[in-house]
Amino acid sequence: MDNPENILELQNVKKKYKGFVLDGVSLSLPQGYILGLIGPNGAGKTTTIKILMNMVKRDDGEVRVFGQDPQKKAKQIKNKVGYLGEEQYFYGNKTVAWTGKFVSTFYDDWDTNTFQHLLTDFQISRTKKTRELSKGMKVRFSLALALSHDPELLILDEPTAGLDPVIRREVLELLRKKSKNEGKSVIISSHITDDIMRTADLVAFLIKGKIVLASDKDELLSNWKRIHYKKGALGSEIVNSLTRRKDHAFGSSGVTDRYLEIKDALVQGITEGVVKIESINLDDILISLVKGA
Amino acid sequence: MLSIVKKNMSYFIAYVTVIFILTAILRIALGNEQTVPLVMISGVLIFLMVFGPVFFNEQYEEKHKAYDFLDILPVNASEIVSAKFGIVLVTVAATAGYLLLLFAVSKVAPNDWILVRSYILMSSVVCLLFAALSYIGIFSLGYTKFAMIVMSFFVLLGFVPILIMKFYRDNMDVFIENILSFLRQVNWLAVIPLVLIGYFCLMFIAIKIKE
Repeated sequence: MDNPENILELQNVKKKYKGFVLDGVSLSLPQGYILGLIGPNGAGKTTTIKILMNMVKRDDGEVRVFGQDPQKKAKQIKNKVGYLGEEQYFYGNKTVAWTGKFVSTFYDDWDTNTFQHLLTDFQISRTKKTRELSKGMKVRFSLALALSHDPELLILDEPTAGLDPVIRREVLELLRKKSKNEGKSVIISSHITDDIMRTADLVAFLIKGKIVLASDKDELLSNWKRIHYKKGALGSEIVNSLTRRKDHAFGSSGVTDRYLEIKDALVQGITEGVVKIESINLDDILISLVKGA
Repeated sequence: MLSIVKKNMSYFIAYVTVIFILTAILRIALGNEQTVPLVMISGVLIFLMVFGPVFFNEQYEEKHKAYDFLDILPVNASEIVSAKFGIVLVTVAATAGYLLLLFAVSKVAPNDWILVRSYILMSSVVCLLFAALSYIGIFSLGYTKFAMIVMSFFVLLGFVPILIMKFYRDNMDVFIENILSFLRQVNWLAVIPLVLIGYFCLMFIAIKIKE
């Protein structure tokens, strides 16, 4: 713990609910990176994120955000964090302008000009009551609120759930820019792996309350491949190490998580045309891990 | 914290304004001879003046999931809770002060004045503690559940006069004299600090629950 290069760190974090256990989650996020937290519904993504925001108290383990414990320094931490939850809550009968003014009073570094620019960019009417905003507008408004105090860390819990593809792409693009151009760190949870694929540098798979895999995204995609092979083209050791094995009319296929390691052993088969390598996406990896779990 | 105070103030200001005007009108209309009914009404009004805004505010907060909204902002539970407790304290103190002033400028007999003062302070104290307990109840159970409990409590409270009538049927004078005697004997210089300590202890409990 307390690696100064890490914006946030979780060590063996546990939380127990009736019918659900977050079982020793460990994660870290270096400054300027985007970490995608992937997992099926009910895996514990929201609980993990709420623990970071001190919206849920952990039962055990250690958490540091900017080197501080959220349970002891929640106010200081939230001052430097932009949070966007799956649901957006506002005072429905208040206007966008009122809400912005209200929220601004809580932050030390609130920049009204940035907020106004973001409202204009996102085409949000200042005079509209927040209950009149559509789901997409609410997400964009929340994002405007989350970005107007120049946060060092963005924590986003399923931010694109329920958004149309245009707005979804827009939101993800903005996050990417914030990270690449301004060095902001981002943790984004989603069960839509495509979102993570587009934005994240690092990925962590959370399944049934446990981190089953955490890695650099490119490294992960380089190692996870689907191998199509004719009978007898691969040694039994490699075949046995494959997951999601299937036999079909043209041969067999399976997924490996250590392609770089076995690559050399496959060269001959590839040359002879009896082995083919197919890239897979995070969705496939998630399914493999879920089935493995 | 100031913005939380400001947001919560609106219902209190509305209630206080209406009730201040109403009591002033009643005082003028009823004159000095009708002090007892007006004092009785004032006690109820203090209660309403705090309960109305507390419950309206909390219903509003629940409707808009305001605590979820505030949870993402850099504000401590202690600031939210102390803002709410602070408003109640100021409202009760201002109302008690206003009512005492209203009766003080009238020609109330010195013996009655002790009772008037005692009754208003007693109402204020009960109201203050009840408001604090209400916040604890709301933070523990949620507004809807707690409002149901309070409603049931008030229904049960309606049976109290029936019980009093049953036990004191033949000597209501004694019962009333007991109450008046109690009110005359209360040492408010000792009671008020104790009530304030109790109030702040309840506030501390409410903060712990909210955290």
